[in-house]
Amino acid sequence: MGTGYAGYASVFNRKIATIGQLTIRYLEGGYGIPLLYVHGLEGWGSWDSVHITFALSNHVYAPLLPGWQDGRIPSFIKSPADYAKLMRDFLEVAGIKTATLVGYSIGGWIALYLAAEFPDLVERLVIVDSLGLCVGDARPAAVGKMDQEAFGEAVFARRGPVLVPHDFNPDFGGVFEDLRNSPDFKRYWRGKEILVNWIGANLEDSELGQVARRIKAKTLIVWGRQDGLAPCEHGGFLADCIPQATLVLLADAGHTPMKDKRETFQGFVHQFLSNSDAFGPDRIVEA
Amino acid sequence: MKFYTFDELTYPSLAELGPEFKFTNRFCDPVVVHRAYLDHLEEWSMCEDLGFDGAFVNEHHFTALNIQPACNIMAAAIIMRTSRMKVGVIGNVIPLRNPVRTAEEFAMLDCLSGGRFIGGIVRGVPQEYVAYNIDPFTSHARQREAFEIIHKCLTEELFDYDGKFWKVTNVSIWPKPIQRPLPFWMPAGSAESIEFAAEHRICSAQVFGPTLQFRENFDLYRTVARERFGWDPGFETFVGARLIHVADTNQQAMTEARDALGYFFRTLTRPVVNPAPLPGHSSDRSYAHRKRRDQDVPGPNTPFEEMRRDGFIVCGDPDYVARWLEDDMRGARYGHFMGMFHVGNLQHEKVMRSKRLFAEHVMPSLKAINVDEAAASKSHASAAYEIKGPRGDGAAQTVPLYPDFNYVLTRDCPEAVRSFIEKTDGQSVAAGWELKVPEWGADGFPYEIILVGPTDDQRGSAFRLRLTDAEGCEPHSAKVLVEVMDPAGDHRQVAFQGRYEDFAGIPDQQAPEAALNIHCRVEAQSRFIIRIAVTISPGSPEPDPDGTESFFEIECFKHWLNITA
Repeated sequence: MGTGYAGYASVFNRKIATIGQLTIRYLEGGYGIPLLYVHGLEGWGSWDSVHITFALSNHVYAPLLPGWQDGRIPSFIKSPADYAKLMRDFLEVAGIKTATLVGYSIGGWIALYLAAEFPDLVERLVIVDSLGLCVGDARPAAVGKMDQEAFGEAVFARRGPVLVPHDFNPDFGGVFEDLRNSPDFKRYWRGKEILVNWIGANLEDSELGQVARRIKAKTLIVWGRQDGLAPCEHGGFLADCIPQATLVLLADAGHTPMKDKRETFQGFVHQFLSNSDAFGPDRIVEA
Repeated sequence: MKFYTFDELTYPSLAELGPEFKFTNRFCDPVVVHRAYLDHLEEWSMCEDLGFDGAFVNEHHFTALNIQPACNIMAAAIIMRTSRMKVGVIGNVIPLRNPVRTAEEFAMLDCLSGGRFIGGIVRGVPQEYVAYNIDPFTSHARQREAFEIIHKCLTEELFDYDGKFWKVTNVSIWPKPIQRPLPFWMPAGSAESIEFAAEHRICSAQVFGPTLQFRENFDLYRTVARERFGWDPGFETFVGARLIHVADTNQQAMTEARDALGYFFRTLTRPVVNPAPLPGHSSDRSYAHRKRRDQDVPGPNTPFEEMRRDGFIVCGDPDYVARWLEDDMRGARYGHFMGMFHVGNLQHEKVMRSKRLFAEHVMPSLKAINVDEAAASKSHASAAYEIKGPRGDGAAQTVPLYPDFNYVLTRDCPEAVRSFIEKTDGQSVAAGWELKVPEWGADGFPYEIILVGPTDDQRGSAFRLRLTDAEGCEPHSAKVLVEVMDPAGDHRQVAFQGRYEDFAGIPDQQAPEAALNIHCRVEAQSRFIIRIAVTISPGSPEPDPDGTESFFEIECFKHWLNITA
């Protein structure tokens, strides 16, 4: 099966899945083998460039984690491991037997549990700046105490104005904006608030390393070198835990490598999703 | 300074709809398109009489911004309406087109124009990759490969190409272009495109930016050309393109252009369903390159006066326009100015008037700018596509053997009928081989074998021969005759007549250009006999044409007669 169908990747649908009493909204698009994307703190937006990147070589399912829109997380979801079980149920309802799994930030935490607990479901795994790891002196940020300025410093590596595409035609030029004033920042800030209200300010899951060691799937780990929420040492630790993992460290990128180094990030992910055989084990790529 | 006219051929009468409407072809009236084509053709072709140096058209797809997706057709129409000025495309979206076809069309346009055509290439915009369903991550690689094939088509006589995206064999385009080399232009905004243009010595065009932005991109080109590719581009390598409108007064010009520019922006909206930037088409490097500037393409809400100040549109009376452009040309240091006179839906008559004012009052005062280095740069720019001779030093060379053979006759080829040893006059012995061209080839088509004789630039078909006796010894003295005759043995044609010693005297007949050659062109048609005979002097050992060391080879042309319905 070929890859790189920009036309198929650009078309998507909004759908709803019902799991018991719970409804899950999700975006679906692209062509190829199934891919489940578990979003990060930013929650759920539109069919963005990152979805298109996944969809160039996959049939993408991008659910909105229940509770991540209004902050009312269902009471039975007490941890990322519970979200992982819900995602398993989502795949079952969608009729997917095996999928490529992509998890980012809080979604990475969830994806690690999903890949470890249900190995038959996960053919390949991409983890991006996952929260939840517990690595010696490289402590995660104390997000509960962060004000907006500190949070912005921790999440985004970019400083000053950045070129963002025009709304009226993203293909044609762009404008310079301060990312801190952007809707992106507001979404991440809101996600942080939901996270803290849900599981508290402690982002260290002491069992996550052991969980990761059980993962069998071929894995790409992408991490921003300047991630102020989950330090890049966490990416190295994760690469040591997962047997078939390749680690890509992106310079000048924070917790949002798909924003800070958009094209480089997308390039690595596209390459992995198109031909994961090209990625050998124990390879650490500095980009 | 040289002057060109160029427009996005914008559909002129879109309804006043908001951005929530996608401008699909639901809004396209072909009759309006017909009128727009004729208006633009008149505006472009009039430039020849006004003293412009050329006219350019370009290609976009799936958009009202530009309704000439097959811009080569429009170039042909301009060519037929002009006789002096250059006509170019800037350009064809080569990553999404068949490159051989592109080269063929460029060559045709150059022949049609009598050598006035300028080829152009672009990488295409994301919406085109979406509609063509092509991986945007491959755009640069596709462009590189396509350009290489186009270059080969235009410069090489015959080639194969085994690429990642295109594989072609036995390509030799007809016609080939008059201009050698065919000049190329391209817009180059990203760092990668600038480097590509510098590597291939393609004239680089900048559009929609302030003077400083033009200057920075041209300087990057100059630096890359000098430091990485060892050449020093002059003014004629650089093209500044600007929306422009000239009227009798500044106020009139601004009034006329303001709405037209607003319309231009309305047509610039993305026409396809996906709202997100397409990944893979740009790079973080290019973002960083553009980030150094204080603005990129202005948005639709940018005040008109600001866009006028920055040169997104040069708009005013002739004096204002001349002064603004002089500063721009000297500041950005380019040698070609490309005026985009038909802004958005500006009325035809106003465009014509604007061009006349420009030609009469603006062009003359700017002609002398940035021409000093032009001649020198032209010689550099030309070097990229020059065809080198076999040696390139002009030295006298041995005329080569016939190079285009597609078949080799041997004692084992399907045409071989028998070997023979015959007494000729009771004393001499003739030995050799007899071949017969069959009535039909294996695929049911007839063919003929042509042994090629000498011409001014080649010696004829290579002919290699060795005939030994049972002991492996060659005859000391013998005559060699190659002849062709019809099935009845009549109509004999002699292709070669010579001495065996000449073959024996060659240390290695397989060495390049070492073989002897056929002396006279002959055609062996269906059922004709080809006879290679070596006549040996009396007393010599009897030759053995079936011996292991005996052989012959004639490099010939097998001409298939394809009789198809």
